[in-house]
Amino acid sequence: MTLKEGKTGMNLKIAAIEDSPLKNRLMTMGLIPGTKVTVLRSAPFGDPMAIRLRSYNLALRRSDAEKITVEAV
Amino acid sequence: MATFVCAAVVAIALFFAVRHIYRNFVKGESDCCGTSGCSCGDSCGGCSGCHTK
Amino acid sequence: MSTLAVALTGNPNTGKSTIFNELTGAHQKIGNWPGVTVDKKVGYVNHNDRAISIVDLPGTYSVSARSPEEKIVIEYLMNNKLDLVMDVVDSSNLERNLFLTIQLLEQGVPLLIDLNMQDEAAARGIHVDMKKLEELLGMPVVETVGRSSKSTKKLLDVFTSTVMSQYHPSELVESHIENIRSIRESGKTAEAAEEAVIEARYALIDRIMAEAVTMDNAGLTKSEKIDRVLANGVLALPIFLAIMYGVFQITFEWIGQPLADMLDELINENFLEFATASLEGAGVAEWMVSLVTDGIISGVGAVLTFVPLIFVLFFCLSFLDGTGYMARIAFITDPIMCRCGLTGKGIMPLMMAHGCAVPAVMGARALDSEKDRMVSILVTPFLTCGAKLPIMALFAAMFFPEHAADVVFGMYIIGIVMAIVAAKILGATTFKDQGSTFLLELPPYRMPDMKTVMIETWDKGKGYLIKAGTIIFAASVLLWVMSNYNFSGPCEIDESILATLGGWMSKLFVFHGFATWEAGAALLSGIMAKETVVATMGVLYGAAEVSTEAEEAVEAAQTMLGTGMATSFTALSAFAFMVFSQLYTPCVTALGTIKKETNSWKWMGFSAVYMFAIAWVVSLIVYQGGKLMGF
Repeated sequence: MTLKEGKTGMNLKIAAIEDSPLKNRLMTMGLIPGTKVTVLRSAPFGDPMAIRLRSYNLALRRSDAEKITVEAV
Repeated sequence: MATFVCAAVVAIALFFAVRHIYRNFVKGESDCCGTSGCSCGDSCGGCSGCHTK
Repeated sequence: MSTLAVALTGNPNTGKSTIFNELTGAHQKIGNWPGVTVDKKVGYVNHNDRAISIVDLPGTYSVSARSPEEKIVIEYLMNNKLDLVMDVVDSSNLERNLFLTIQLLEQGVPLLIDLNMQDEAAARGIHVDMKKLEELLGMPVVETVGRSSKSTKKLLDVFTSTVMSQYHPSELVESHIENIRSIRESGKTAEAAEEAVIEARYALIDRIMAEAVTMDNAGLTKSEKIDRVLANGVLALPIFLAIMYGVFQITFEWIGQPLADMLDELINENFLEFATASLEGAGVAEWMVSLVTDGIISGVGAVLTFVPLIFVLFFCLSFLDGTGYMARIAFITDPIMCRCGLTGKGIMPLMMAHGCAVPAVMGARALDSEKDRMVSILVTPFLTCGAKLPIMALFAAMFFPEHAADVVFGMYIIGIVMAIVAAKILGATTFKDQGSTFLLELPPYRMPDMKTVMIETWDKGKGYLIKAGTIIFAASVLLWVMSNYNFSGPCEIDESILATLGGWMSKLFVFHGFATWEAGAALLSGIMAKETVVATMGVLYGAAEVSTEAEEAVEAAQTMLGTGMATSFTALSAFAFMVFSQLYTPCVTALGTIKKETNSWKWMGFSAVYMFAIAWVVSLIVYQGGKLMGF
């Protein structure tokens, strides 16, 4: 599955990030294959979503989250 | 006499004011509120310059 | 006294600015980095017989030179001989913060690592073994506890006593540097190599975390609990509006307005009276007295009266900024902004536009796509900047005394709605749809450091004071001349140059209910700087009243302004005038910035014309619609 389908409270592990201009930025922010993320919540109307990783919180749009493949922990 | 002194004070003040405006114009700067307030530092959500960019 | 050059670096939201302000106090100079509009802050302090200069570098997550800020940081560190670079690290968020640390170590920067927010980390069950960290990195590590000034002041001792040349990167770091060199030389594509390097850095960070940091799982953090209310689901939006409404109440009802009233009395009654009496007593010619009192004091005074409002508003915004709520605003408004053809990140420049459109237009350059940027630049000037605020506050106080705060709040809403509508239309027509991204850290909620909030408020508000002393002062003199003379010499005010110009301008507003030459002149001068609308009103109505009732010149200027203006406007036409002022052509400074940022005269001209047209139409609808509804 991709991070886009993540529901509040899910604990996930990043498997891969699709190649895109955004990939480098995502990786700099700590989204590396193997990193554990927790889905925290969604903004009103369900987008963007907030995730917790590496002891901080990050907000991203679901359309960008779609590029991140994750697996359940 | 008093009028002259008064006029001189206003004229000098005006000179400095206009010089300031002119220098700003030449340097392309402005005094507007907030132009110097933000360096993308800590408590600066107002600046999106470096948020994950 | 020997010198010591120190630079502060670190991620955003680590308390770096607070430390900087605590260390240097008011002894700081703000300038620009060459070529970019990013602030350069330098502070000076003497300690232990050393003259220490401290540079506060922009907060960045990395130094990959992707943004102007990142370029500044890395170039400054590489090109200047610094005795010491302090990397401020948020202890409760060590993992991501260490990324920058590692990157700087790779560059061979002599780093002093400051574990800030130790108290916060401890509360979250995070314990960092400083000795171990020092050993792992090979660089000195100190700790501070955020807002405790005592712990921050200790840093000065550390600065003067630490000899950086005694420290060398550890073997662990050395082997990491060797590792990334071999990755870069392995013949992979630049992108793949860069990704491998990032992975190597995080692998090192994971190792450091495992060895030097212990975490007790303390359950939900405080920020988490707050976010469940403030940034969760649809409820977050009404709360956001309520908070903004609260800011307005504070500014226009509870604190700002009472202060403004006091200042008004001081300037426009006591000082005006004093100045008139002493000038007349000294035998100054009548026209000169008129220039000083009706021209300068009325004009500059009318603008100065609003200084408390501006400062209170900036204080509130800086305070909110310091709490971390601004990032939540971007988060919760993104879905709406997105539907409006903007991005949630764009809310930050837009919030800034409530101070001034100029930094907001500049701030737009940080947005991800060209479309986001252009749309943001073009709609930003619709919002109520600090200079439009006096117009709204003056008219609201005069014509809607019972509901002043509500009416001003309404004006802000009209500005925001227009900006959204314009963004929607521009996004759908002029600019082709491109994808845009949104990636934003949600920092932990914190009680803002008051010193930092104060310094920020002052930085943002002082421009208003400078403008009052320069452009408004010059404009007041010019307006006085134009309102007392025509080309054949001194004249009655309604035959003056200003009356003629204003008369031409006012022809545009015959269906708007404010087709007086005074209103026309005020709006015309407002293109120079929006504050001059109020200054013009001050000069015109102040002067008109004084000339007929010289004996009663002691009367409050506010009241004179009131009586003169009250006859020229009805509540409805005043409202229409406010709407027009809110929306019409941006001031020349903003136009100049638009030209610079879009690099196009065409877009600047477009911006000036389309905003005027929209203001004209909307204001017409308001007035005629209001009349139909019987107001």
